[in-house]
Amino acid sequence: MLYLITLERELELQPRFFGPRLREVLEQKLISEVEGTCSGKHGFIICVTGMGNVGKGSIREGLGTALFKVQYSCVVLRPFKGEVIDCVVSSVSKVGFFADAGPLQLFISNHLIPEDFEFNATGEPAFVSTDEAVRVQAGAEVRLRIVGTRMDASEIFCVGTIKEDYLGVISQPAGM
Amino acid sequence: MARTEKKLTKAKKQRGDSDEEDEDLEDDIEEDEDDVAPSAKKRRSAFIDDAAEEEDDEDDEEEEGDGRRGKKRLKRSRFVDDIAAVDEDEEEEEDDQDEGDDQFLLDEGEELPEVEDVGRRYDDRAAMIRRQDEELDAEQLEAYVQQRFGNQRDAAAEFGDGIEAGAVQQQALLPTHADPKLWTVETRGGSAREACVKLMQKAINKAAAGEPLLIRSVFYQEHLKGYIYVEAHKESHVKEAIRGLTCLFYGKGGQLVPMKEMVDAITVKYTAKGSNIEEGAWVRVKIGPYSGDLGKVVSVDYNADTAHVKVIPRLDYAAMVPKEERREQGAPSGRKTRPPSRAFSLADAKDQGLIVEQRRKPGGLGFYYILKNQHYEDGYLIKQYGRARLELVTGLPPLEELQRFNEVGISSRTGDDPDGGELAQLMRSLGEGAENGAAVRYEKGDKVVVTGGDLTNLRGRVTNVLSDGRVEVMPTQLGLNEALTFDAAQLRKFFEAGDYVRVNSGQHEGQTGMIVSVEEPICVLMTDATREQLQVFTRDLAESSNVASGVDTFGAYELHDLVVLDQTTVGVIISVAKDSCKVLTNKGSVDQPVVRVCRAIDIKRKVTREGTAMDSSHGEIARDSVVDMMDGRLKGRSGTVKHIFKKQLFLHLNDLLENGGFVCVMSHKVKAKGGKAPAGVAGSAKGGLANALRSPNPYALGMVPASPRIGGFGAAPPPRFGGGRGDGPPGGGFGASRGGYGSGGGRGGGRGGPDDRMIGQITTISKGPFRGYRGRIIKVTPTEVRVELEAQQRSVGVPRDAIPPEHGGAPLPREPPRFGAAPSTPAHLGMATPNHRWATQTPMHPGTMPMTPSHPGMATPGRDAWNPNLATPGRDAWNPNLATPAHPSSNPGPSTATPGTYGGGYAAADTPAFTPAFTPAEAPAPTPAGFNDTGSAWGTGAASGGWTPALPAGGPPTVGATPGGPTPGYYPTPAATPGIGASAYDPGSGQTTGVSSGPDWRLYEGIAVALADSGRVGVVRSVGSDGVASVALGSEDPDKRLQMPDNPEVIQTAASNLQLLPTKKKDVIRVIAGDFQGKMGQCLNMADADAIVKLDDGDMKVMEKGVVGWLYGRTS
Repeated sequence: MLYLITLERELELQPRFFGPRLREVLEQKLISEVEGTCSGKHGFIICVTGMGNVGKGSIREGLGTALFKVQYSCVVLRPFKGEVIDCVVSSVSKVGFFADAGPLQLFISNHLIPEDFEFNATGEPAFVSTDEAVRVQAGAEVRLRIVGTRMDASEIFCVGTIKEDYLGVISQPAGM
Repeated sequence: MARTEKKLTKAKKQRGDSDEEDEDLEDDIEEDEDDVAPSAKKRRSAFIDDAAEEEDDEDDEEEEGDGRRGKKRLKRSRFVDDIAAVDEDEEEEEDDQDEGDDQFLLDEGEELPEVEDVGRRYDDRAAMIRRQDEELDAEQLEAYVQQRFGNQRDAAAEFGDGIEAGAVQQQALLPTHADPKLWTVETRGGSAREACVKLMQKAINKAAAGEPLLIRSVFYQEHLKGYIYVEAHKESHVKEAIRGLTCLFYGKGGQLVPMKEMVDAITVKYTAKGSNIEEGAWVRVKIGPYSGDLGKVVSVDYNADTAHVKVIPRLDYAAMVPKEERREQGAPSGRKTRPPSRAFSLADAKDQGLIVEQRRKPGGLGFYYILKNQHYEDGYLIKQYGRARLELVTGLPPLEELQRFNEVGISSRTGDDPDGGELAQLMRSLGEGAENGAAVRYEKGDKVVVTGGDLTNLRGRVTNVLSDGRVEVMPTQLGLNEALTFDAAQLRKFFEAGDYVRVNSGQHEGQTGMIVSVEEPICVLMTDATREQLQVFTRDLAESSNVASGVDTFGAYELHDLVVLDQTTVGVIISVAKDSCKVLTNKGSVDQPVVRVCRAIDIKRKVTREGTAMDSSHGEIARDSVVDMMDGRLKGRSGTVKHIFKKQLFLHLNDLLENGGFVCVMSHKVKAKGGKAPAGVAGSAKGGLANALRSPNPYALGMVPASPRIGGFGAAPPPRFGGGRGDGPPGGGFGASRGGYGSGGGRGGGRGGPDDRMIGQITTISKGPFRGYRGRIIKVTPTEVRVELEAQQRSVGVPRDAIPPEHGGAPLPREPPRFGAAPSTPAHLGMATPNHRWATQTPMHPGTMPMTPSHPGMATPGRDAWNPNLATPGRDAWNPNLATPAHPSSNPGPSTATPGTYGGGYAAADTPAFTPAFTPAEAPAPTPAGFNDTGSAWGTGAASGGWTPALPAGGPPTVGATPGGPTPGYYPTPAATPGIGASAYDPGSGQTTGVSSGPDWRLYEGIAVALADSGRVGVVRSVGSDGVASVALGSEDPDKRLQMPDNPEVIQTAASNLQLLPTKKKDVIRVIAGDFQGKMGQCLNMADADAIVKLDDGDMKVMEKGVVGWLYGRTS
């Protein structure tokens, strides 16, 4: 799920940036440091939407750099168990397929794909339904339910299922 | 004949007229005969065997009625063993049996029928056996044998129970002085067994004659060769017994066995191999075609010490067809590979024309099949093995194997089978396994579900495990808030998909992962470490909150370590098991990875120091760089460099399932991604941002102030710096100051990129007073590099050539030497030298500019380069350092005129050789009008201006135009000749490596080219938008024309590396640059430096050779 939350971070800045553009530099630095990162608590930080309070910088002894406590608001992506999410299939193999929802990677095991889907390795690897109407292949958009998440310090990994009602492929890749 | 003899003996025995003397005599004679006549021996041994058998038979008949000869033999050997195995009990019995011998004799006597009877009985029996052989089919026979001998097992069991008497009782059984003693008697040769039988026979005969032997028993031990034991009270009794037997040494007499050793002498340790193989056990076959295969014991024959084992057949039906037929069918013969194990298929066998016998199972349900004397049932092969040939599987076999084993039965089961069904079958086999395995261990916190009793299906968590094995459970449902106590057997562990678990026992012990699916009693989990799917028994799992990656150490090594296996082999540990690990080695390729299973001793050491490598475009790759694969099945996928070993990279691809996501790839088959800066840049303290704000470093944040269009031509860096290209305003930036002056639209600055790339790198200075110092490059000029030393708190300037080439110190090799075309312009005639000097010394001085005819050109955006406010490397042009080497006086001239030294090169250009060098170029020189072009329009004019000096192909006539000579002119003269765009002119070959108008590399597709770096020739297959061209390599024929093989090798190279091959008359061409860029036509004729071209739209044009590319293989 996506959230807009306010977080805080300490930024270290070199003295040469101390000047009229300080805030600008801080903002740039903040974006380069936090965007795209992931924490187990908040999930992926997708985008910094704004920078709030910038605390007074404190000079670090002996270095000359200054530490600024910066509050910023950002959009985070935090997956939850039981959440239904739309993803794009990124790769398919016989044990299941991987799908991406933005920076989030999910794995859907073949045990969690309905039984009437069969793995077909000819051509583009795909799970194909018995009536051959639906193909789960790279590029397809699927709706799935997250059955488990694993949050590491720097990575979130999810296991999903499409073996439920109203889950599965919602659009085939172009050219299908 | 043997039979007749036997009858005779029998008869004699019956009559009771046998005389001991006679018997002995007869034996002696026979013994003598033995030596000369083997037939006699045969006869005699037959006699003896039969005699024993006869005795035996009678016993059997007493019990059961009749028997079979084949089985009898086994039985007999058993008979001898049995006596030995009787242990102390036997002795005891015999002690009790005071009248033992008499008793025996009496029974025997009573039982023995009349002579005629015996004869008739033998006839009857022979007839019956014959009948049986004819009538009984295998199944009936089997049933019969089972019926008759099946109870042997029970007997053995009972016997075993007897042994389990208490220790005191055992003590009481030990021999005393009053008991008979044991004597050993030496036998002739290895005839111990024979001697025993003979003695027995003798005892019978003597007893029948009323003169019983006084010995108690005779036996021999298999392990004691050449001796038999005789039990008797006195030695004389022994002597008496063995007298006359040729197979025993009468003269040596008996040797008393000390009483202490008596027990040992008669104890048989029955530890035959395979004795632990019982019915229903899981076993592995040790030998034969099924060696290593899992099997299940169907039945055990304890007498024969064999077991019937159910295994999955490995049949090659085609190979079973008789050879002659096979040859007729033309099928390949002599296949040696081991056929895969697969269920027996009647259809497959019949397809091959094999004769399969089908029979109804004894129970009446279903059929079994016999093919080539082998018995197949339910798809399994039922094969008999000696128990010693089987190895018991302790615990439960691996789940995968179990399932495969079960599937065979399921797949070949017929529909009418009542208890079919995969799950049921599996459950059943697992149930059996559970009995074997240890009981489930519950731990505090385990999620459980109640499986028995009133509270079935209640879920809860274990709160306590009591010492008596019962388990306290706190229910999680129903609002119950009191812990309940259950027997462990009433509970089952409970998991759901998505649970994070750890495997506590079994093969995968220590792994952690997420449950993907649950099918009681099996869970499928996806491991963290390797992203494999494992099947694990629920009972082996426990919830794990800890997100550690399971087993990730292997001795002193860790998962994903780079380890050395032997001198040339290294690899990454991709998975770790209990005592072995899998290593992806560097011996394979992306498409065919080589994975070795290693034990701890196979691993020599861990690689700790790792270098860097070059990607396809000579960019540096360090650990943690993100690279794109350019080749193979994973083309286009990107991975993170985890290890570098020489030129091989071990990449980790996140979404790759095999080999733990690792691949081994040659570094030149990947391309570093812009996404992540090389370690050097990123590693510098806040380098990214700092650099971004300071200089046009295209890495950081995409901030590219005033960056020129890098990649315009020539060796512009491979457009890896996507952000840099085309971002800058036309003509802006340092490009202009770098010889891209006036090159129109700011396309210039061939070196701009590489220089930038150097900034931030950590390098080691290789020359000069600071040789050996490491430091970070903070600034780059054409001649000098400023390095911030790590060891000292200062930065020093060092000549560029003091920086190792991999950090950009020396000019990149494929960057062809080039020079500003300035000297070749007419304007320069005669004044070239002074002009240069000024230009170099004070390039920015406005005063100098009017002096050069190229002044108008300066009006192009190129001029921006001199704007001192522009903080671009363009500034370097004014660096006084630059002027110095360029100064002729400061340089000795030709000696330094190597391509590598800019300044020196310039000096070379100053030498007298200079002028003649360019003379040939003068003639076609265009009017200076070209210079007046504005940047935007420079194309024609400048191009022609640039091209005019083009030397005849091959260019040898140019005296001073060694490749080195002109090159250096490039740097010092940038400002002098703006507007002349042909800065990429390569005098060495007379070619342009890149038309300075920033050629559209895509126009190169299909064109014959030479590669600047290697000199190889080929045809461009394609040029990607990233500036990487794939070139099919060919060869040059004696006429210097390109020839392409049928299956050319295709390589990837930077587009800037491409040089046009000369065109010839009638070639189909494409115009690469200039006004007619992209047009196709035909070359009508070649002049010195020009090509006369007829374009497809009918126009006839005279063009520079260098803009005309030969479309290989096309005809008009």
